[in-house]
Amino acid sequence: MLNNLMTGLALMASVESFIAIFIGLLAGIIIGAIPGLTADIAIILCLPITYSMEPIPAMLLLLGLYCGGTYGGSITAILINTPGTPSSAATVLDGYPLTQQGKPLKALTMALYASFFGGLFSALALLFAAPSIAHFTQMFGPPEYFCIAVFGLSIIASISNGNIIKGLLGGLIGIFIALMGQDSVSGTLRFTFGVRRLGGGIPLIVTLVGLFAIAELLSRADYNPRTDATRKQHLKLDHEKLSWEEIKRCLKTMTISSLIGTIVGAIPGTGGGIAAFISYDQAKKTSKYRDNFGHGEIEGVSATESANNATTGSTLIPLTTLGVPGDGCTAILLGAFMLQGMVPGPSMFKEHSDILYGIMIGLVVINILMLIIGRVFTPLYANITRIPYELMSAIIIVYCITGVYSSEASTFQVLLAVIIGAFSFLLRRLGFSVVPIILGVVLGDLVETNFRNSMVMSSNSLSIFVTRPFSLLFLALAALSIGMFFYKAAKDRKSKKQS
Amino acid sequence: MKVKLNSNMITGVLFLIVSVALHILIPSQIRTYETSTVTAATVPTLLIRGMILCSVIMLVQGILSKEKTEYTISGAIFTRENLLRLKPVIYIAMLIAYALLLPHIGFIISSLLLSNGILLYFGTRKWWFYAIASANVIVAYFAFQAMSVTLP
Repeated sequence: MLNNLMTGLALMASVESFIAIFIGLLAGIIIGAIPGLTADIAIILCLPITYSMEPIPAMLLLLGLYCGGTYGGSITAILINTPGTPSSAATVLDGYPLTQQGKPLKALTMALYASFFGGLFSALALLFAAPSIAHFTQMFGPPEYFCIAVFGLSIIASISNGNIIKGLLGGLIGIFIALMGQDSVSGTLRFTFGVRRLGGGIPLIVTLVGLFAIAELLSRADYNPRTDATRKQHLKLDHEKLSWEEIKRCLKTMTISSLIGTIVGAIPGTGGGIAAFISYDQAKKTSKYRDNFGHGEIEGVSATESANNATTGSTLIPLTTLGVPGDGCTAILLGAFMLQGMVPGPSMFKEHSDILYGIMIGLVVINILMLIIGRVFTPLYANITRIPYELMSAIIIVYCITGVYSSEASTFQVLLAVIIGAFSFLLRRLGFSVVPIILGVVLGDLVETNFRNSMVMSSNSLSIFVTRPFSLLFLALAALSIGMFFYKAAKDRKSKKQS
Repeated sequence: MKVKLNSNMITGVLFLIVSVALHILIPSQIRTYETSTVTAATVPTLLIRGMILCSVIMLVQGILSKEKTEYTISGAIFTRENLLRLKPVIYIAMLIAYALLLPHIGFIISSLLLSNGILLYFGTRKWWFYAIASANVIVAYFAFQAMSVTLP
């Protein structure tokens, strides 16, 4: 092990590797911060450049894009209530309220530290525990995946702004959106309403831009730059920095969230979005400041950002040990490994251990450099909120629409994003929180596919979910999560009556 | 005429209509030839039934709730207050027009019209805001071209 580490370090420590990491991170952060553009797109765009590069710098360039893109998504989530990438969807819950309070610098700094913490935690887990974690997740089948998704959906209880039925309805709407188009099991078209172009379903990025960005622009449509001074985007920025006390009180949350992110990321087909929501829910339930969650709680930002970045290293665990990509990004990275003449899978640690250790050490360096680059640029990002709202909206809309268009090179997707935006605006007016909807969209396919596969496995017996230890564990966690919500609600009602 | 409503009542009625309509549409929208017990229609059917149930609960919650706002339904539709409420509709119309025009007049012209239209919509008088928004369209166009994204 030590020998492998030393060889890997020697291979990684080249000028070429550091330049690749720097370029990857910078480009990743910029692309991740543009709503509609994700780390996947950045990696695809840079893939041809890596053909002629040595394996380690090539993979580090792509991993820099991956990590930078995951962190970059939090910038717009905090500043303009629009997650740059799906994994930052939960960051808007507390990040944007902090911006509204004039504290974007504090929120951005915490997002950076938490991203660094989660990313580093995950990179070290990859370096030291990859084979054992892979062995653990290898035991998971469709029933376990279904129960993980149910556990993910149970979070709706704590993020539905007090009205659980509204949250549940939002979650169901989200799953319905995810199921539109061609069924992945039988190929049957579902709810396409005769529109051929809906056959492929609604891409996640279209839903994301519509639900968050366009709905946000519409909700501020009555803004008046002359008379409506209180709603000006030009917020009074305080230069209050993140205190050591605040970092210290978030350390426990960051550690637990990083652990959750690492485990969730190691399960193929999940991803940073789910990890962030699960961690947010856990942090909210265990925090001393739980009542402030959703109103600009710094601990909320630390939970979501450490969890989603903790998936960046762990998604590589099933990829490198089993040859199974953990999410969309790692599916592209699988191709990149193959282009470099390495076939991810059980034999990879034997055949290319020196290069693999070089890449894993490089991932640790990526996270350290991300912290340095972020420290330099965070004060600049915070000043984005100084741009007058009318100009900001005219600029944002162009990037949102081009981002949506670039997902499938189709103007139909732009129209779809506008329709979803109008629908989301209506739901906001009716008091819905958008977050349960996006949770449903993210988990919808996972729920259905694994439910159906489980039914095939068990000859249509629902008992399969309670007879397997891990699926039972996740169901119990889901029940506990919902139970805690009702217990807390009853306790709050009781204390209100007494007072 | 005066009516007392709250958001739960409106949501309940609205989603009850939508979910019942979707339930009726299931046979025509999911034509599956699978013979197994669990088919492509199983989960969507359960989902829509769940939506019906939630809508009914919300409607009942709304009716039982004491928190209601009184609305007056009268012939005076074109009041200043009502017209102001329609402002987001104008914004939505601009975005839909943009999405429909995009394939016909191209990215640059349609985006210039949209971003300057938004500034006009907010009543901006500063000419340099229009210049910045227009320059941003050109920058976005070339930035995406550089990333091999061919815009219409």
